[in-house]
Amino acid sequence: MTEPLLRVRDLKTYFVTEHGSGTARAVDGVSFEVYPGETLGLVGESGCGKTVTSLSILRLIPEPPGHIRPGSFIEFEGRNLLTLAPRELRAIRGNRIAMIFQEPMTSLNPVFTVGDQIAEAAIVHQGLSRRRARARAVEMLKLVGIPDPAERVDHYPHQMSGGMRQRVMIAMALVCHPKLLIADEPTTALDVTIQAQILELLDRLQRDLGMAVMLITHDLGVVAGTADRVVVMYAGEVVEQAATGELFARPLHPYTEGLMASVPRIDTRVSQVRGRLHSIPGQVPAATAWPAGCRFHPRCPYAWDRCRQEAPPPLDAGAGEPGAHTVRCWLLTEPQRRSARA
Amino acid sequence: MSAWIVRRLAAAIAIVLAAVTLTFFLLHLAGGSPCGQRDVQSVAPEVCARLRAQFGLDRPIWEQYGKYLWAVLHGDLGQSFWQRRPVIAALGDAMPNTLVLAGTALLIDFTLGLALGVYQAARARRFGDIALGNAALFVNSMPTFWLGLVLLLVFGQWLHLVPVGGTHDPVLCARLDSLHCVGDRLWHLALPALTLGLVGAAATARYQRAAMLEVIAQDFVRTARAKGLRERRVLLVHALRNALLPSITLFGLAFPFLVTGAVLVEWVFAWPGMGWLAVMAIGQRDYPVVTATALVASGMVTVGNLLADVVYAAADPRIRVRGA
Ligand SMILES: Nc1ncnc2c1ncn2[C@@H]1O[C@H](COP(=O)(O)OP(=O)(O)OP(=O)(O)O)[C@@H](O)[C@H]1O
Ligand SMILES: [Mg+2]
Repeated sequence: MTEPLLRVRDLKTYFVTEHGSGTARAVDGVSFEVYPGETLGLVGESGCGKTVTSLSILRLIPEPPGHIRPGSFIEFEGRNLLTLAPRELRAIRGNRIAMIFQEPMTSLNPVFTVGDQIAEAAIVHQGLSRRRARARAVEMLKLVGIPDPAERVDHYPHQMSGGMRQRVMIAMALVCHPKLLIADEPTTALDVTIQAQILELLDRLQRDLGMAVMLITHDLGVVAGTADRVVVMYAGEVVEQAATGELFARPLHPYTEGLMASVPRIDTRVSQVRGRLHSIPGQVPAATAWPAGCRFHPRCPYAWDRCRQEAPPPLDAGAGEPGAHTVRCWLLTEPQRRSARA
Repeated sequence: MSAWIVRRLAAAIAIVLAAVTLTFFLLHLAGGSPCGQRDVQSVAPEVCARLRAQFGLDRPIWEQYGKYLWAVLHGDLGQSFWQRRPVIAALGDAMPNTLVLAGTALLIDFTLGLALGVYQAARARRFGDIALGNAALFVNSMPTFWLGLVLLLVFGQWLHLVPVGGTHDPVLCARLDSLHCVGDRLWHLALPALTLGLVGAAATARYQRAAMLEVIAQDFVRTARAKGLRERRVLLVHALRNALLPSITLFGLAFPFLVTGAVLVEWVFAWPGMGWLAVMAIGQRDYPVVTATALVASGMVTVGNLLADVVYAAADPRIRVRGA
């Protein structure tokens, strides 16, 4: 197998909350890798640590209150991002790894034209002249399917719709042809029809530019259509990871099962469901007080004593190569309990 | 946009008119005449009656008011009781002094205030921020005239670093060429401008720090960092451009502060500007001058605010584009 482009090992990102309610362990020992050119889906309910994971990769966690714990390890193209000097880190941000955010309405600077904002990364990383960078911005706007790019380049963000702004964000992220694009719920804030367009655009650009994409979503339906592999997060941990086909054919973690049950037609490219997961009772607990034992046990239909006392490590599901499909669930050691309930 | 400016201009004129009217009637209630200082009757009654007739003070108040407005509209601010010359001439002497003082103070206020505010926001809740924050609070809670007196005492009286008052040394300036006199004037300007500027800067810094912190927490600042920009560029270009917008409004608010501050500072430093003139005139019950200084002060404040609004509209693309 090829070397991974990005390797995250035992990432822990904690927040010290101000009013003394303790430490929020938002990301608590997350490991996964992203291979060149692939799409990795990162799935989980609201508050399970998806955004914090992605911000940690580019070291964009606001500090204080947040900090990445010693012992965490994020390797990109053979270098540990967590120990890079600020200069070297800047050379990676927006150049080798780019990111688009959940909130297209507020992620663009209101006082600069979209053209200036797109051109900026090209000027900083590739040393383009202002004129060349502007021409590049027009090209990028065209690439992401904005009509009249030569005119739009001088517009301000407030003159554009949410879908357009997200296209601008994508243009801005891709201007330096990054090797990895982190897309944090790029469509959550948009209308359903626009969602499909943006996802298709990302898919096309990924193939054209040959980059890897880490697609973050709370919607398994989105992942089914686009991702090669899926990482399922719950309560700051990776609870299951597998190739997309394998995961949908054989979901092993009860949380993954629940997520799937909440998607009405998993064969559609874009699910019509947004946000709420009706089939899993209860909600994600606060990051300051994860339950003892398995963090999912209060919501799990199969939970027994062991789940309440002992946290399961990632266990190999024994499909394909070792580590190809891992699950954090004691059911793997006692599969008969699943059938007993079913 | 132009309709908006017309509306704002009308409001500005109404405010100046209200200020003049209020001053006119209040002064009339306070009493006073060209006959003498305070309540001391220094001239003979028949002379006084003639003077009163000469200044039109024997007419009913409404008539006086109407005549005054009419004259003001024609650029005539009347005669000073005390200086025995046109009010315009007295203002003409005082105005440049105030403009120099207030202009320099404004410069100190905003350059120092913005720089400190941005620096504090960049080091929020760390030592530099806390130390400067406390210093600003200290300066801000001192009365302006008291700060002026302390500075005067320390730098003028004890250390002899700067002169203790006036705009220039007339003896020295008479002997020097104009270039050297400029130096002497700047020398005299330093302390009063610094007093006024420091007090303003303390307030501006607090405001700018809050504005910067609010902007730094916004999503687009994170986007700028994710692009791989230097922290300096993130703060001074992406954040500051947004945080400067509210400060333009602050610029408008600085005018009333400068006008009232100038009154106190000019008095402490014997700086013969508008504030000093107003205080002298009040002491002498010289209404035409007092009313005229109120007119000019309210005019300066409203024009300052109007200017700030126009600049704000021009600087914010969200307003600029919609109005264009
Ligand atoms: N700036 C912060 N200060 C304190 N706690 C934070 C901060 N940012 C995140 N957290 C904590 O991290 C947890 C995970 O947040 P995160 O934004 O990663 O969730 P998410 O999976 O992206 O959810 P969503 O789908 O809503 O975007 C939150 O519940 C919160 O407790
Ligand atoms: Mg998120």
